Amino acid sequence: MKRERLSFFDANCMVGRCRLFRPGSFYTTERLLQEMEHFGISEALVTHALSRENHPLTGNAAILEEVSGHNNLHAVWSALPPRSRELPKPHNLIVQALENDVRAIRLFPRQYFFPLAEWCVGTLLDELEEHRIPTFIDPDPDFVNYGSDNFDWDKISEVCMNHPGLPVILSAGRFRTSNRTLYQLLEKHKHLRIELSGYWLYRGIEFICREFGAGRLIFGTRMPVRDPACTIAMVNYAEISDEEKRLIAGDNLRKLMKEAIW
Amino acid sequence: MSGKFHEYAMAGEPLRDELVIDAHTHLGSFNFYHIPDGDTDSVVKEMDRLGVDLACTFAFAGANSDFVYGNDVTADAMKRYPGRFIGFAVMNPHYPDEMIPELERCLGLGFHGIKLIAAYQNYPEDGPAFIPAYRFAHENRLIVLSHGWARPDFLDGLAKEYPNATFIIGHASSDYADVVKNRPNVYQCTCAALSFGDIERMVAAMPVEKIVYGSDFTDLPMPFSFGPILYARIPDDAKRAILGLNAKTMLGI
Repeated sequence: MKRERLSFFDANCMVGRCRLFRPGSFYTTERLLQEMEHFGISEALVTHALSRENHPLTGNAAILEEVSGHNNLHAVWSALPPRSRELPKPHNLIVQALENDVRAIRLFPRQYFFPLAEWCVGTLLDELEEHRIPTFIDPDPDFVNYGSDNFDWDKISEVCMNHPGLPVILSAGRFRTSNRTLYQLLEKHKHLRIELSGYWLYRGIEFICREFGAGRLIFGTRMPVRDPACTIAMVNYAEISDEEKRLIAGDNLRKLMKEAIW
Repeated sequence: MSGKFHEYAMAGEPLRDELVIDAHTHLGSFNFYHIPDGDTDSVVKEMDRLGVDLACTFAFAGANSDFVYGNDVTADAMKRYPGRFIGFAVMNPHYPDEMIPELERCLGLGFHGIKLIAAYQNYPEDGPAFIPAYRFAHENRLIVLSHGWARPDFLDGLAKEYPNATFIIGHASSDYADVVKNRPNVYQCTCAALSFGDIERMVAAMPVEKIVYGSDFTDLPMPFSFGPILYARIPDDAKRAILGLNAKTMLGI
């Protein structure tokens, strides 16, 4: 019997002109929608390049415009440590996000030069935790030149320990080299999850599923920098059950977004 | 663009009806990170599950540790699974006196190629220590796959000077397209074609019959690497050629 096709929900896409652009790539929402169709991706969480590279204020407004009218695109906002008062206070920021149906936040500590220490982002994380907002932590200096293994694992552990109700999702360009460390954290922090676009590990999906459960994995492509076929094929061809594939392909993320509360 | 391979990919169907030859793979344990199910027996099961017929292979230990031990790991896989692995002997430029004896030993064990990975051994890719290996490859009609070739003119010079050797550019690139076009003994591997549009760019830049599939397993998952070929906006015949037929010609099998 043929398996029903998976309903992929891409947790990691970006639109907008970014600092570095590779020939043959793209940056428009229209093209993103075309590519999603070609690759069989039904929904996507989308960040604007301005949110990542310029300022959350400009980028968060821009992404709302980009996704407007597209039911299968969902805006993601970025945020900063609150004391500079560049953004609304954390409570107001999260209320505004939810009012705009934004149900995920991305933090770019290296892009905006702040540590993930409690003294710096604790009040912001408190608010995200209270509202159960899926929070993607992206440690890379850039979306295109992502480097390798940029997580500060002690800080990730600190975030998880101090905010046990926060859905924390690791999302980086490349971080399989840290897997011996990562397993320790997955064991310790049950609310820690991995977005797959940077987890290029041979039979890594199979291992995480049998050791920690499919609930810890979130599908993502890092389009338009990466070829989405890499992670799509990793999930489609994984030696796991169809139910586990459905969870990873999209249902884990859908559930997390539904659980975000006012 | 759809087609048979696109359908395979969308359905997660194994490639069992197609010839799949993987020109760039690894075996054995690795210091960098934990590789789940990375032992040779499990790797063969994974090849069977996904429809991979044959793999050109070399051991991680050859790159990062004792190259002779690494070649023993490869030889063991060839012996235990005849017809599934083509051995490539890894060389270490810091042991120049052992290079030719080790190549002689590996040739006797049935190896068909040489793997160079100078950058991991703190040695320049265009350094002179490998000249005896190139000559050996020329004299014995072997394949030489390098992680990188420093620059196109260097590879062009080697391909001209050692015409009986076959050279593979070990990672996805269009930078060597002119060399691939102009030298019959130079092939381009798809290994780590993970940037958006890599496969289409390579097919546009060089003759498709000179592009061979390489997954980098067990450094990367097999599907991670053949996925971009299956989904690429190129004709099915081109996909079939890249996935196996070109390597068949290159290997003379």
